[in-house]
Amino acid sequence: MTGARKSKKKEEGDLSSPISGKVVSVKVKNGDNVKKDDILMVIEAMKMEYLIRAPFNGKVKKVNFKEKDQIEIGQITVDLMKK
Amino acid sequence: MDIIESSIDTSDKEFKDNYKHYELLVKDLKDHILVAQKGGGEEKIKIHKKRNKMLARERIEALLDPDTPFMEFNTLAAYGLYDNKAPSAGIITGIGLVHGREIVIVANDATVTGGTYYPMTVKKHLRAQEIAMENNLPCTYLVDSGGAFLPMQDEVFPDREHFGRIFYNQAVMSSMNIPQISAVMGSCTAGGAYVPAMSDETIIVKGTGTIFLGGPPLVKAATGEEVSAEDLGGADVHCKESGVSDHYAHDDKEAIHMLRNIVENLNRPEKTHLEIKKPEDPAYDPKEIYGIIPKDMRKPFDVREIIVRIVDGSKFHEFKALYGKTIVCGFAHIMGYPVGILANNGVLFSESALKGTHFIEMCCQRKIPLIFLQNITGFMVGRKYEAGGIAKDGAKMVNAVATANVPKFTIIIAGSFGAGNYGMCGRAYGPRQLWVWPTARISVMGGEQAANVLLTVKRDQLWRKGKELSKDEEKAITAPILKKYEEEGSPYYSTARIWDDGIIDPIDTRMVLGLGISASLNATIPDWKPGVFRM
Repeated sequence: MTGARKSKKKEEGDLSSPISGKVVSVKVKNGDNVKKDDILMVIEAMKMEYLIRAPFNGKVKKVNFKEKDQIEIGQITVDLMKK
Repeated sequence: MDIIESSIDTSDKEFKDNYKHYELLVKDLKDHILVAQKGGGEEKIKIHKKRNKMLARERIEALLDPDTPFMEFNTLAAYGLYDNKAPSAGIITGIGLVHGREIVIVANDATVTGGTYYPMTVKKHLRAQEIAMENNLPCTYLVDSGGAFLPMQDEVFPDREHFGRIFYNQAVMSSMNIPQISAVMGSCTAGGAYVPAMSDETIIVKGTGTIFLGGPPLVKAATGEEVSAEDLGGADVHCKESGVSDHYAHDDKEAIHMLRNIVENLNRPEKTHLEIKKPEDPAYDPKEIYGIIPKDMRKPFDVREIIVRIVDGSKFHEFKALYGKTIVCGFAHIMGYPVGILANNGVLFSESALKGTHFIEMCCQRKIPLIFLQNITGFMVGRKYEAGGIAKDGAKMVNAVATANVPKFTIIIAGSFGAGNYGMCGRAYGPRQLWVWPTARISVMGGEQAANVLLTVKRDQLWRKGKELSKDEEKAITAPILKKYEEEGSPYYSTARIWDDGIIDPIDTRMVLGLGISASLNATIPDWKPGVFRM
């Protein structure tokens, strides 16, 4: 035993879609203030829901997708300004 | 090795909700098991005991070394089948210790339709023999059965995996020096008579044990001869005249004592050596698993949180943590035994499949048992992935899983869908044991996906004729499919049909894996010989 490592919940600071799928819910609109870990968008693919959470406290500059939109892996879900 | 630190907050509302939900699931499981363990019910048990016979479970308990566990398989076999008239399919099977040696036990429960063989009884008996053969474990049969269940003869008699296979397996195992031992503690009629006759060594109980190809009613019908069961095939006939049995017991207790003596003298080979560590409890409470698995199956969770609650000391040496992240691979110990673990953390991509394949190769080379923790919605679909060769990369993993000849163990912890079931060592890939958690869901695809596929097909057919489906018509097509998938995806549906070895409480997973690995070491681990990988 040499030390301890955290099991990471998710990648920090990433607002890109982790998978190609369908946007099932958008939780924020342009101009909203959000806190770190707030859910911004829910994407469904392969029977699973993927939550896009705010990586930091900030203000929504632009929501790039609406409900039922198709989204590709790597596309940026929401433009977020750091506060 | 490093301890993986959990990031679960046990005071979180979602955790508490999940926990409560899972407690109900486990309670439900235990209720089901209690009902099944009653066998044919109070009335039948009373009659059975009046005949001076022990119950099947009592016989097993008496046979095992005191205070040692019995790893029972398929307690809920035949659940919901045959009007629920065959609890545990009327047969109890498992692995237990006798004189410190692991053996397979197959015990008929005569309180369930006279111990006759329903289709699932045959399947369960054959599965127990398969476990014996793969793990090189002696077989003991506590026989108390009227043979095939006659109303269903077409489903139990003639085919390859039917009744005849039981005796075939006995002959084959005997030739492999896997001892076959019978204790006849009740009737043993027709086909059933071959179980003791095909055994290396056989015991019969005076007064209750009988062996004959045709019982008194059949003899009378065939030749007119009138004869009692005891005179036709009792202990005196078979120990003194026919030589069908070798040992004469006066009651069940004596028969079990003799059986223990036989096992004591088998001279079994030494077990396979692995580099074993001192077992250590996980640093996190395994019961916290209840709060980690989401109530809603669509919600993802980090499978490392499950791993740290199963492995010794919560220590896990992860392999390729930054590559193909939707599969988690790594080395750990369970009950002191070294294991390689593959666990899903999302849908399988090409990179995840390649990583899994690489990891399996290492475990086969190093002869380390493999554990698969299945929570898999499938391999990724879509043009980009097909063009990227997901089919051939998935095939590499399936290839490696299929040919891997280290002992493999599969636990279905949540979803098990489509080719993901195959890539993660589903039943068809020969895991030594496959257990499911109450949260498991098993089907070729999700119910919604299946309903939508069929709906699209129907819509296209009508479109060609210039017609369209109304909302109600659409619902009429999808609703029955959703219902069917919901019902058939249940772990109870699976375990009733013996697609697994049983449903377990997640907190028992460590113990079940430890016992399973220990049993598997009775067989040698051969060198790995992989097939052709499509590159």
